[in-house]
Amino acid sequence: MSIEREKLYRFPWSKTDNPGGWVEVTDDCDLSCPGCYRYRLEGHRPLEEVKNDIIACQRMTNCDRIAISGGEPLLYPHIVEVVEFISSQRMKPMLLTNGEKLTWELALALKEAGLVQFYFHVDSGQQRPGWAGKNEAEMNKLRQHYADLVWELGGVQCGYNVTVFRSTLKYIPEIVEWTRSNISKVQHLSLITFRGFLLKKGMKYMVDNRTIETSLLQNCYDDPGEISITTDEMFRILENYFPEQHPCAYLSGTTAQETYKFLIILNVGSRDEIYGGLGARTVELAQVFHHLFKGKYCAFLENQKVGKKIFILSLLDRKVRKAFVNFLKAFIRNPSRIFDGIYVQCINLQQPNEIIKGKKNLCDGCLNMMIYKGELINSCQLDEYRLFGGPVTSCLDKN
Amino acid sequence: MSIVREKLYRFPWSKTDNPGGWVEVTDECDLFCPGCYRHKLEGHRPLEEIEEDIIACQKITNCDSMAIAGGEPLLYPRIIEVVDFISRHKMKPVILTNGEKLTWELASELKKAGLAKIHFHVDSGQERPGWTGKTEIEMNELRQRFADLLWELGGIQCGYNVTIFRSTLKYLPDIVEWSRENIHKVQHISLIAFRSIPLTDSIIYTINGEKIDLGNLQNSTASLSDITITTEEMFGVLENHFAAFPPSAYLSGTSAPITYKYLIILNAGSKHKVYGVLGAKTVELVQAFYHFFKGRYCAFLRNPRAGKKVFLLSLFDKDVKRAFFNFLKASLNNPARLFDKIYSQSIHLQQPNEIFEGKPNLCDGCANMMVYRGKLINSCRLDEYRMFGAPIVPVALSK
Repeated sequence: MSIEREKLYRFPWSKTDNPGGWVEVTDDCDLSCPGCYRYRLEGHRPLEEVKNDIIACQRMTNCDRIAISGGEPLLYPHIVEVVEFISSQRMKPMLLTNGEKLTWELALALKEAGLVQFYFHVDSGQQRPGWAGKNEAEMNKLRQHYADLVWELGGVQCGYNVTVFRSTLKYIPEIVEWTRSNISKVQHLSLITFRGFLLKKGMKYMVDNRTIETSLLQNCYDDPGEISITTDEMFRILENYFPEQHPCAYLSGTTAQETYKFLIILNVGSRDEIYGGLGARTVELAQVFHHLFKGKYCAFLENQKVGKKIFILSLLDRKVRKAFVNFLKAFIRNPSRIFDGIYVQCINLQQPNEIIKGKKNLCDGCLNMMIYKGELINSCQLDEYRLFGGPVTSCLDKN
Repeated sequence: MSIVREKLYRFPWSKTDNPGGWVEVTDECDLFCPGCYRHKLEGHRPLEEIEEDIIACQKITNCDSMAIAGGEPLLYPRIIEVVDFISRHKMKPVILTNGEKLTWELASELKKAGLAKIHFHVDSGQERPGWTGKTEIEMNELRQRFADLLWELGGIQCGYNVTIFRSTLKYLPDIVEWSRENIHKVQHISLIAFRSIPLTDSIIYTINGEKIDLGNLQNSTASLSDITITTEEMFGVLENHFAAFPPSAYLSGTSAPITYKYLIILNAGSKHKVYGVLGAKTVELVQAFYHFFKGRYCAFLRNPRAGKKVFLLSLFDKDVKRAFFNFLKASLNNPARLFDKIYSQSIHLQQPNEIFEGKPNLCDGCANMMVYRGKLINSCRLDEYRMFGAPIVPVALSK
């Protein structure tokens, strides 16, 4: 079955009314992941500057959560203060990290500072010390380690970023399977297709009408196959393994509207079983009510342990109804199921910053926008601004 | 009082979930309005092509209304068929016209074909036969003529587009005053700040990296002070004349999110008196409910007669509460007011396609996107595609 857009909810997010904000605290990192678009140019940023950007981002985007990113934010000496600052400004702080520097003590300090979510970037491409040569399925062991740590800590959500390459595409069902079996511990999984700049004869890259040196671009490939995995392609692979797992919401591309830049699947279940998913209607209601009562949209709920009350939405959402029926069946088979906690888990298929038919195709309604020198920019384009002074565009070279 | 963004609702519109679609049937016109960005290149378009574009636009944007524009659409010989086609495809057809060719008979036929609204472009800059040298205030007489025609006909909403120039800015309150007095007949007025492509030494224009000359474009100008009126400036002028006249919703700019590309004020009143405005919460509720039940957003409701039930929203919306209070006061003074019909009317301040700080600043969530050769584009840039094959890229020259 292909993805039917009419059945999906397009998130109501825009540049100035968006659940997500983004801030980078350092461009230092202790790993060097393929696909990374961040250069080491500045090192740690002054705390005051970081705070100013957070406030400006909140003002401009009306965001509900701020992603603290980098570089590796856990290398940043004032990281706890940044988390505390975001929390004190009534936003949900979330950390994007590779996890290498995470200790129990640091995790505890971050939790106390108000951290709402860890987002661990873990994949086999990273070639981490001790994990080199492992495949994606084997990396689930490391994912489990972090999930257990955060679970034990309590009160902080756990998510994962996984960059998906041609070579690892076949493993995505195993990653999703692992995630599903950890629904009580893992709230988010982002499967992000690898992207880079295509080096092709006759193609040149420009900023403000100046041709730029492609040798300065980090992710350049002459094989289009490596950078062309789409969210549709990932979905089709997953569909073969999890036929009941349908997307419910999306964001499209800015120039290629037929693309799904974000494609969201919401699983609902207990730690013993996934009962089904949430549909477009539920996502719509969640966004509408959050905005109506809190004045802003939400990227994720404060508590993903939604409980059995979620099944009330059966009245409006066919998918929830189906999940409810499955839950009832499980209950009949084993009445102790009634005491199980019910969780929601988000599987996010992402197709980031790319060039399609010569045009930059960004996420329309991107929730990772950030402030750079007072301007709101797409965080994935930050280094285009830092290195070249503006976003890179492509054009055909007539010579 | 300046505009407070936190008090405004940002319409939840995006490229792929938007209430508005746009189609052009001809580029012929019988007037020559300053600020017009449409060149006569093709004449009347084949009906089949138009129908294909309408369907493609509906599919991509999920639109609820479709603006039929041009050129002057009433010159198009098959205009009735276009209206009928849109109506049959369950969208609200809207015609943008200068009204010159509108007769009672044609209006009746358009009504039968399902036309939902006519937007008359009427302003003093047009230099219409018989109306040359008239001021904006005097043009209200022509506006009244069209409003009366549609009122008598019934069933078709009436709106106006007015291009605002430096020289006519001072007349804004008179135009709005006239609209308010006609709240039962006039549902919509768009006050559109004049824009043109600035010809200066500090910017060059390029397509695919090559410099192009825009001296021949009818919408380019070297007179820069004419093209800088902002919606905030227009609002400032209006605010001095109308007490309690706050805007309720907006769209921002794509490259300059601080700008208000659309700024909406919703009057509520009877034909005797405007009682106040509808606030951000009401707009939000309307958009949310409409989308939840109809699966798409709306740019306007089919029935502008809101009725007294709108005052129920006093529970959620302070602005409505104030309007309700004024209505009660008026009813105490004269109990006949209790039987008056209550209408809503939208005053729409617009700051269209512009080069802002060297960058194209379009409407984020634009409700006037159209399909051109299978691609969704901003209708205001159509001639950039038709004449140069792509949108113009301005390049700011370093000083």
